[in-house]
Amino acid sequence: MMLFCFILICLVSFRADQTLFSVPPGWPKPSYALKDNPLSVSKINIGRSLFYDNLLSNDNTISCSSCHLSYTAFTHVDHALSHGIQNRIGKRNSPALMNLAWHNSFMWDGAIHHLDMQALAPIQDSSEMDNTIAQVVHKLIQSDYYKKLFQAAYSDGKITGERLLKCIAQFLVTLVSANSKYDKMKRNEVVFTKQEQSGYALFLKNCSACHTEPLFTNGSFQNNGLPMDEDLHDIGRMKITKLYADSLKFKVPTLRNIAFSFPYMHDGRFKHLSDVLKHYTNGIVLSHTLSPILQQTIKLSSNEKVDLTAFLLTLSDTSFLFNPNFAFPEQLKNNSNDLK
Amino acid sequence: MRKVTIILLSCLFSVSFYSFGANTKELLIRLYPLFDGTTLVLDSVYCNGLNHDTTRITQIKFYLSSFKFIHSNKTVFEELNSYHLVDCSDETSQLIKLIIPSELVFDELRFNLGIDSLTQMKGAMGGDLDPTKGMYWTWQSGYINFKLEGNSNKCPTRKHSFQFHLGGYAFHDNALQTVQLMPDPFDNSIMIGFDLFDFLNGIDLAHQNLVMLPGNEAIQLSKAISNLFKMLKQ
Repeated sequence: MMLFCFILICLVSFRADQTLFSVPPGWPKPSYALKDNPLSVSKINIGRSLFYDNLLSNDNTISCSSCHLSYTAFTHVDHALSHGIQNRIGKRNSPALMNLAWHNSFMWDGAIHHLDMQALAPIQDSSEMDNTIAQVVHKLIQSDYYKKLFQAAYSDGKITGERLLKCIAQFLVTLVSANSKYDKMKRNEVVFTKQEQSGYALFLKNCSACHTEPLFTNGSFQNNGLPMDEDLHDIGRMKITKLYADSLKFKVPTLRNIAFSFPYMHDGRFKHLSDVLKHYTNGIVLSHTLSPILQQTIKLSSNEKVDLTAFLLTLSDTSFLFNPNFAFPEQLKNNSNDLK
Repeated sequence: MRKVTIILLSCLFSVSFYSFGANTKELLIRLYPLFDGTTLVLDSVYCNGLNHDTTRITQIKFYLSSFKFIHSNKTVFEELNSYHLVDCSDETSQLIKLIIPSELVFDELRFNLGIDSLTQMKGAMGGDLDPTKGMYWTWQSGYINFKLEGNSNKCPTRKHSFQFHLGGYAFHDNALQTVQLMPDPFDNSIMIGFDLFDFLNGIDLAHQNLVMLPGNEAIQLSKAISNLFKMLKQ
C-alpha cells in the first residue's frame, strides 16, 4: 500500500513538473536537479512574488526585477552597470535571465555554483540589496501575505531560508525561452528569409563555437578580447579560481533575445549590436588568455554584418518576453506593504 | 530490480532499527571552547603572556560534520545527515547528541571540521545548513567552515579586530579538515575541548588578522584549528 502511494506521488509530481517545465525537443538534459526541488504552482508563485517584491532589499526599495525586467529579457536595459539601493552602482552589467535550468554556474565569473544559491548574492551585496537572508526571512514571517503563500505550499507553513531560495529557483527554472523565429524555423513552422539564412550561416561559421545552439552559449568562460576597463579593473573568472589562465575570462552570455538585452558585455560597454560586431571584427585585443577561437581575425563585410544581425533578431522570443506568467503578479500589488 | 528491493528493505530495516532505539544509546558530545586552559567566555578580555597581551573573542561558529566511529581502521558506524553547527554563543549547540548502536565497539571517533565538497555542491539546504545561519558566503558559493572574530592589541587594524572566516572547497582551496580522537567507548558522554589561545598564540596576529577568502592561508589556518580539538578528562 505504501509502495503504491509512493509511486502515485512520484507520478503526480512528475506530471506536475512536466506541465510547469518541459525540455524543448532536441535540447540537452537540464543541469538543475528538479527531483531535489520538485516544481509546484504554489512554490513557483512564492518565487515569482519574491522576485518582484522590494521587501528583499534592506530599505524595501528594489527587487530582483529592478535589474531583471521581464519585458527586456530579464535584464537592465540602458544601464551599463546596474544600480542597487540608494543609487549604489554595481560592478557589472546585469545578465539576462532565461533557460537557467541548463546552467551550472552563474554570474559573469561563475562565482555561484547552483541556481538555488544565486539569489543570495544580490540580496547580500552591499551595492545591490544590502540585506541578509535572515532579515528577509524575518520580514516574510511578519507578512500575512507570505504566511498564507507558505501555508499553501508547505504543510507546516514554515518560512525558512532554504525554502525561500528554492522557491525563487523554481520561478527562475520556469523562465524558458524556446519559441523564437529561430526555434520555429527549427520546428519547420516558418522559413528564414534569404538574409536570415545567410546570417545563420555566418553565425555557424564565426560565433557558434561559444554561442552554441540551442542555448546560444556553451556555458564556458572566455576572454573575448575586450581591453580591460581602467576604472573597474575586472579580472573576471580569475577572481574566483585565482588562476592566471582565467584572467579576463567571463561567462559566455546567451544570444537569445539579444535585441532586448542591451547594453552588451560584462560591463555593458556596447550599446548597440553593431558595436559588438565591430569589436569582433576590428577590436580584439591580443593577450595570453584570449579565446583560441578569436586568435584568427573574424572578417565580415558590411552586408554580412547586416545579415548576421538579421539572424540575431530571429532569436527574439516575444511569447517569452510578454508571458503573463512571468510578469509582475497582480496579487502582490494588492498585498504588498502588509508588513506589521 | 531485486537488488534495489533488497537495498530498500535493508534501509527501511536499519532506519526502523535505529529510530525505535531497540539496541541504541545516546552518546553526548560536549564541546568546550577554552582560552589558555580555562573555559572561554565570549566578550571577556583575557590578559596573557609576558607582554600582557589583551584578547577578546566575540564570535566562534563552526561546522562539525560526518561523525564516524572507527574500529581497526574500518568505519563501524556513521551518523546520517551529520551536519552540526556549533555556535559558542548558544550553549545548546555545543552539545551534539548521536544515536549509536549500544554495543558499538570502536577505538576512534572521526569527524570533519567544515562541510565536504559534495554537500557544498548541492542546492539550498535546511536545518543547520540553512543559509540564514550566517555561515554561507554570498559573493561566491560555499559554506564558511569556521568563523572566529575578536580583538587583540597585537592587531594594527581598526578597533584591533581580527576576523577569520575559513572555508573553501573548490579547485585547490579545499579547507576541510578531519579530526581524529580516541575516546573511551564505554563512556556515554565525550568532552572535547579546543583552546583558542594556542591558535592565536601560534600565528602572527600583527600580520595575519583578516582571512575572508578561500586559499592557502585558509587551508593552513584550518589545519591549525583542527589540531586544537582534544579529549578532555571526565
